[in-house]
Amino acid sequence: MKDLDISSIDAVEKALMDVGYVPERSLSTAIFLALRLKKPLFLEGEPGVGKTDVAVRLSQVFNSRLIRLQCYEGIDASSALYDWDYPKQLLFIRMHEAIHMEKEAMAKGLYHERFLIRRPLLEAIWNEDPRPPILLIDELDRSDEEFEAFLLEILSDFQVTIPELGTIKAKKRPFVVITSNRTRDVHDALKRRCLYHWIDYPSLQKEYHILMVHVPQLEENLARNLVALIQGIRRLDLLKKPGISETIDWARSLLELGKEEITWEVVQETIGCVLKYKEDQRLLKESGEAFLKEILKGDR
Amino acid sequence: MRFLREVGFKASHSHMINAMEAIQEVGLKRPDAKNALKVTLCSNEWEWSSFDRLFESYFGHVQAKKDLKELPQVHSFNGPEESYEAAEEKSSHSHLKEEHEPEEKEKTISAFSILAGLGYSPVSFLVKKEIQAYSPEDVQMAQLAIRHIMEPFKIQRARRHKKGNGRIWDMRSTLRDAMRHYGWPMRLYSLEKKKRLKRMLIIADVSGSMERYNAMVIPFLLSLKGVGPKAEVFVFSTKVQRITEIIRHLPLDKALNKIIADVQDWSGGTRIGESLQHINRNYDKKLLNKRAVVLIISDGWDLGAKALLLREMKSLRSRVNKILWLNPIAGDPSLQIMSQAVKLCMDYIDYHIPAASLMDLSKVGLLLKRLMSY
Repeated sequence: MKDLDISSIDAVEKALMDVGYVPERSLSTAIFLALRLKKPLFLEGEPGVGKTDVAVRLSQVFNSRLIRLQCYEGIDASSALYDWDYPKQLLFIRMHEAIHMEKEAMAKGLYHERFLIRRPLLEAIWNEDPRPPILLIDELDRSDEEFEAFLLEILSDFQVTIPELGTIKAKKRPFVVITSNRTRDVHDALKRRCLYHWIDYPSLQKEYHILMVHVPQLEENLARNLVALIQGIRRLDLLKKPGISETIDWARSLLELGKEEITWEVVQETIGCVLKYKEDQRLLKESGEAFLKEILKGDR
Repeated sequence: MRFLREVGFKASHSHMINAMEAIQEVGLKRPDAKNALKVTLCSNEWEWSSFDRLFESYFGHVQAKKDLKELPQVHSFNGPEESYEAAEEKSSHSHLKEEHEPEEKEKTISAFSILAGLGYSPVSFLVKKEIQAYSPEDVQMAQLAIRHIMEPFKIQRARRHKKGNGRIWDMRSTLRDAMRHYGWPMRLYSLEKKKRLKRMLIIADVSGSMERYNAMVIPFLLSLKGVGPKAEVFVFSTKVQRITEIIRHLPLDKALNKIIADVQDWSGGTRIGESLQHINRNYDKKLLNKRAVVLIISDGWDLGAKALLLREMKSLRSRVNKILWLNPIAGDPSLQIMSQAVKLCMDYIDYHIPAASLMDLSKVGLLLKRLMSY
């Protein structure tokens, strides 16, 4: 199996479960279709619901290289695609001048592959591995719109023209996963070229399943109460709802602290694992012990 | 596809081609076929969350489908034969369900008819309609339209460098120049940071006289999210309150509810002078400086002291770059008597802009774009 291919949606689901990711059926469908139709997968959702993890797990499923491009404000082609190693080039010029090298020959050697700094996008395109890599373009919403337009060009052809070296075309198209936290709308032109999936907070059962996969040493009853409490906290009017990663962090913290049941004191002690805003913490504290009891009673 | 577009989806031809290819891959088994259409036809959270309901109303209800056929716009729909047949089979089950739940059926169908658009473009009609004459349905539609209107107003975040006399060495240009001098870097080029964008300070009136406009004003504020950390939003009636954090972190509908719940004196009286005094006294140069543009949204109906208002406006004007006043009643001569505060402060206002309709707000978007970028 040289290309990234998979026979059915069920196979995607099973493969992801094997590497410790519990997907929704719709997400498995999206991944299956993205692989089959050779389209990038655009994942949106609140922070901490497992968008980035999809790409990481897929690279494990296919045993492919994961190339990650973390977007940020002001990212441009030279930090995403390629750049020349200017200090080395200057040294090269000075060195060859000392041995009185011909100007023409020097110019030829100056823009050579060895002076090229490959950034993630070029790395994904100019890839010699037998298996196509998984290219993760993370938090695209943080980048500028010009960068989106530039990405559009790359994602449609998977080829790059470096004036000094010529056009480089991907021998194997990388599988692209784009994630966004929706801090701003990504342009329709880019979304149109992708398959879209919104990853929501999981249901109680699903979250319990995810938690047990990630923290198997957690006692069953504690895990059940923890998930019920997290689901209850999400129903509060918070600035930032806790994601799945917070649930896992909280479970691990409770294990580290040797807590065997969730009491109001434990919640107050470890609230920082779940709620990261002062206002949200205050809201939970104001909801009080009665809130905790009500949720845990409802669960039983 | 046509049905989805009428409902407000952005479904284009490329979406349709993707959907057809996806159906070929997964077959017509109901949950997978639905998921395949969902991932190919949706492109945002709203579309994603509405899709299941729309799918059920389109393929699930016989009655809904009959209604659909009666609608002139949707009549010519030429969906894939297979999908349509699949819908016929599935519909028998929902038909049985309908007999037991007639009320629910009516509800679904009426919602379906509204969503189908009934043959006119509500947005174009709303553009000229005065905001105070909006019905609750209009407001929902207008809130969507505002997002599109504000699209020109997108600030370029200036984190990049440009050629100049800064401290950062421009290796690229230096090397290119060195090539002309046998490898000697005869001239060192440097870069400098682009100028930062101006800060925006929005002070919105949520007093009783502005109540009928508030359903529009707050979504307008929320559409300014694109300004990012450079925007500070305050609301005032008798007291002033900072709501920047709420706007920055919550989606539109939740933010609106939270603002209404949190803000004291919502729809109370107006004391513009006192509110400005609070801002002038409590916020230092970091917020109020010559790179800040202040946007006041109010009808100017003031119950506070006039001298105080004048003094505070003067003080504010001396500290910031520009003051814009958005006035929902500026276009109506019969209501001018209400805008006494605006008249008083006219000397300190750079732009007095009517904000009675979506058309007015679209002009604001363009003006802000011009004022905010260097």
